[in-house]
Amino acid sequence: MKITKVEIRNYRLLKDFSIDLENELSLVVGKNNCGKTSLLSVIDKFLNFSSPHPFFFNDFSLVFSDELKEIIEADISEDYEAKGITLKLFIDYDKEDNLANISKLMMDLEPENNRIILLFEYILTADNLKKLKEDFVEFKKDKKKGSSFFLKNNYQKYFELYKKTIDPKNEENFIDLEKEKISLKDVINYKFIKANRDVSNKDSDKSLSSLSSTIYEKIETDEEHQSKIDKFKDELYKTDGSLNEVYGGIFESVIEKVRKFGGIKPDDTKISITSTLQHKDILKGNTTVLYNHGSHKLPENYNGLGYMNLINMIFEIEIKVNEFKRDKEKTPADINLLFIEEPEAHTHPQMQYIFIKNIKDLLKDGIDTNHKLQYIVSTHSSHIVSESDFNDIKYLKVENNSVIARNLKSLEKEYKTDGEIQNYKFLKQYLTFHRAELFFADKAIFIEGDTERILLPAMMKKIDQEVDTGTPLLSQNISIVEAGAYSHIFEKFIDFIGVKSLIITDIDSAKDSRDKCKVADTNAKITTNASLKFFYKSDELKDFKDKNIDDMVLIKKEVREEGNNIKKWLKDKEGFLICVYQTKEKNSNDEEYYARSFEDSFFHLNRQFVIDNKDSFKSLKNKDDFDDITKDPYDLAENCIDKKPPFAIEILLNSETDNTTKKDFSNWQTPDYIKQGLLWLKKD
Amino acid sequence: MAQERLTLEPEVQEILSHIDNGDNFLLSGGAGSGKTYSLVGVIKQVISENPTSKIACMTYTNAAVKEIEERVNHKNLVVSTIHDFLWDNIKHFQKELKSSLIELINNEESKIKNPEENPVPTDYFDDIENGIQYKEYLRIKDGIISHDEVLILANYLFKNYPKLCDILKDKF
Repeated sequence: MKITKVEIRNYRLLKDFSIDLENELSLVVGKNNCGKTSLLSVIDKFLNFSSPHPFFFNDFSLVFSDELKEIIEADISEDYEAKGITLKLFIDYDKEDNLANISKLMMDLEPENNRIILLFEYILTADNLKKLKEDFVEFKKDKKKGSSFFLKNNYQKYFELYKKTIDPKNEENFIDLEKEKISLKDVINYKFIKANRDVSNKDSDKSLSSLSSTIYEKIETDEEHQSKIDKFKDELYKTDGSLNEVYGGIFESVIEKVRKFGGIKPDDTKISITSTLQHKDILKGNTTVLYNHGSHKLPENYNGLGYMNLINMIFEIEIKVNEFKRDKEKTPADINLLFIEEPEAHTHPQMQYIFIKNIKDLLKDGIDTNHKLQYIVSTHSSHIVSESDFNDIKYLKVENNSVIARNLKSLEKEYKTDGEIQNYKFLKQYLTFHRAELFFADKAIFIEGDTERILLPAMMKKIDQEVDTGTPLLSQNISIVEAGAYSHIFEKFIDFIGVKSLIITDIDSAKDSRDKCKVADTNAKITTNASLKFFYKSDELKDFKDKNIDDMVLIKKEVREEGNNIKKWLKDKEGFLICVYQTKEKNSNDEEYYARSFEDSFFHLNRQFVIDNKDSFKSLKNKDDFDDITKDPYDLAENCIDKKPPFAIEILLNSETDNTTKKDFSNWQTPDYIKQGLLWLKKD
Repeated sequence: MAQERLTLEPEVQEILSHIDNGDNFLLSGGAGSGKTYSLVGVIKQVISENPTSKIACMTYTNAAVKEIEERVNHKNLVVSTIHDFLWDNIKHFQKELKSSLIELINNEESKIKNPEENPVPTDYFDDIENGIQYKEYLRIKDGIISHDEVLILANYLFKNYPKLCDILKDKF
C-alpha cells in the first residue's frame, strides 16, 4: 500500500499543487522558496495536529486570501462552493496488502477499485460564509478597519476542519471520518526530520549524546533487546550496592549531625543516603558519543559540523524507524511516510554523495518484513541529485506565482515519443555527471566550447561594469553548459525546467553546396548550424541575417497540427530561450563586417589589441597578417589561429584594467551578438 | 513475558496445540462445565504470546459478551454476538448493502420481504437518511433491518464480494 499522489490547494506557495510519489524514495529538488518545506508542513498539520485549527492566517496562499477578501466584500452568490486549504492523499493498494485498517475507508467493494482518496479540508462553508458576512457588517459599523484585519483576527470562527474519504469515481460521495470516528493512526504514520537539526559545534553541545537516551527509551520496551536491557539494569543494581557503601562514607558526618538533633526516640532522625540509579536518566547527560581519531577517542563536539550532521541524521533515522514500530501491542501503520528535509546541510560534496548512496540501503529494510518505508528527501544539492536515480526525481518550480511539480520520468516519455531516446540517455549521463547544478540554476547559457567557457566570465564582468541597472550577471545564479553543437538536444530539458536560456552559437554560413563561406559572400545561402536549424525550423540564411534580437526569442507551446497536439518552439517576445550568433557590426574604425565565427568577430573589433600585444599572443601563427590590411578578419581567423583555448587564455592574460575608470578588461571589446545575448539574459 | 504454558490447565494446553497446528476445533461440554473459563484462559495465553494480533470472539448473547470482556479486557480482543460481528463487518458498505437488500427483497426465494411494496425499484433506498440500519425491530421501508435479516444479508454480501472476505481475513 502506497501513497501515489499528493494534491494540495491554497497552502502558502502551493496554490494548486500535485506531486506523484514513488514506491520508495521520492527526491524533491528545486530552488529555494519553491514550496519544499510547505509540502512537509501541510501534511504534518493535517495528519498530526490534533487542534481543530491547525492553520495560521498566513498559511492561506496569497491568491486565496485575496479571493477571500473579495468574497467577503461582494454580495452573497448562490453558487458559492466551500473553499480553503485542502490536501488529498491518493492511496493505492493491491491484493497482497492488509485491508483491515483501510476497510473503513473504502467507498465500495468493487474488486477493480484499488484506490482510496483521503481528503483533508480546512474550509469556509457556505453557511459559515453567511455568518461571516453578517458579522463583518456589524464589525464595520464600529471600527474603521478593513476586511483583511477582520479576517486575520476572526478566521478561526468560520473555518472548519474536515477529514473525509471520497469516492474516486464521484468526489461528491464521501464518508466523514470524524463523524464516523474513524482514526487514521493505523493507516498512515507520518514523520519528518527537519533541516534545522540540532547540531552546532559549541563546546557544550551534546546533541548526539542526548539522542542516545532517546534511542534507549524507544527500545526499552522492545522484546528483542530484552536481554541486553536486563543486563543493563542488573549492572545498575550492582552499582547501586557498591555506591551505597561509598555514600555511607562520604555523607557520614552529615548523617551523624542529623542523628544528633534526634527526635523523641534515639533513632528517630537516623537517615541514610542510598544510590538509586535510574536507567533512563543515567544516559541523559552521562553518555558521551566519542569518535575514533587514529588511536584517540574524541568527544562528539570535536567532530566537524558535517560529520555531526551525518551521524545525527543516522541517529534520527534510527529513532524515527523505532517510532514507526509503535508499541508492543500494535503493529506499524499500513503506510509509513518519512520526510527528510535537506540532508546536505553542513556537509561537503563527498559526504553528500555518500549520504544519498547509503540512505536507500539504510531504509530499504523498512520497519519489518510487512511494513516498508516510503520516504521523501528534499534537497538543493546538485551533488545529491547527481548521485541519485533520475526516475526518483521530482522537480519543483514556480510558474505564475504557483508551484508545480514534475516527474523526471515524464521527460523520458517525451523524448521517447519523439524517437529521441538516445538523446535522453546522453542527457541523463551528462546532467548527472557534470551539470546537476542546472536543476537549481535561475538561468543557463549553452555554449559551443572552450573559447566561450574561458572568456564568458570576463565578458559578463565587462557588462556588469558597464551597465548599472538590474542584478549583475555575476550575482545571478547562472549555469554555463558546454554543449558543443548539440544544444538542441537539451531543448526538452530546458522546457521541462523552464529555465531562461541563452544559446551562444555560430551562424555557420555556407553556399548551397554546403561549402562554408563568408556571410557577406553573394553565394552564401544557408546555415549549417544544427541548433539554429532546429530551433528556428529553417536553414535559409536570410531568416537569420539582420534580425532584431527581440524577434528571435522562443517559447515552447502546444499547437494543433494535422489533428494532433504537438509542442513546438515558436517566436514570442515573452519567451525564455534565444539563440545568438554573429551579426553585422562596426568597429572603432567605422568598418562594417559580418563575422562568421567568434574568432573573426573578435579580430574585427580588436585587431589593434592583438597587434599591440603581438609578442604575448604566443599561440597565434602568421602574426604579420594582422598588419596586412588586405587580410580581413575572416582570413585572420582562418590563417592565424592554431589552437583555440590558448588563444582565449591569451586574451585574458593581455587584458588590462583601466586606471581611471577602474574597469576590467578595458582594452578589448565583446562581440555585439554575445553582448546583446547577455543583456537579454540579464533582464528578469 | 509470555507465561509458561506448562502451568496452564491440560485442556487449555490441548487447545493451544491445536491453534499452533492451525486446526479448527470444537470444545463441547454441559452447562457449567467450564467452557467459558477455558476460553478465557486460551484467549489470555494467545494475547500474551502474540501481543499484536487481533482476536475475534463470538458468543450467543450480549450477556456472554459482557462476561468475557470483563474477564479478559484487552484492546486487541473483540467480543461480540454473531449478529454484531457480521454487522460490524458490512455496515460501512452502504452502497452494497442497499443494492443487495433490494436484490434480496426482489428475490422470491429469499426470506426478506417488503410488506409495503413488492418488487421494489433499484433506487428504493436512495433517499433514506441514515442508510441501512440494524435495530431491534424491522421496518424495511426506512432501511431498518433486524436480527434475521442481518444474517441473510451478510451471507449474501460475503458470497458476492470477495473483497469483504479479504478484509475479514486481514482483520483477525
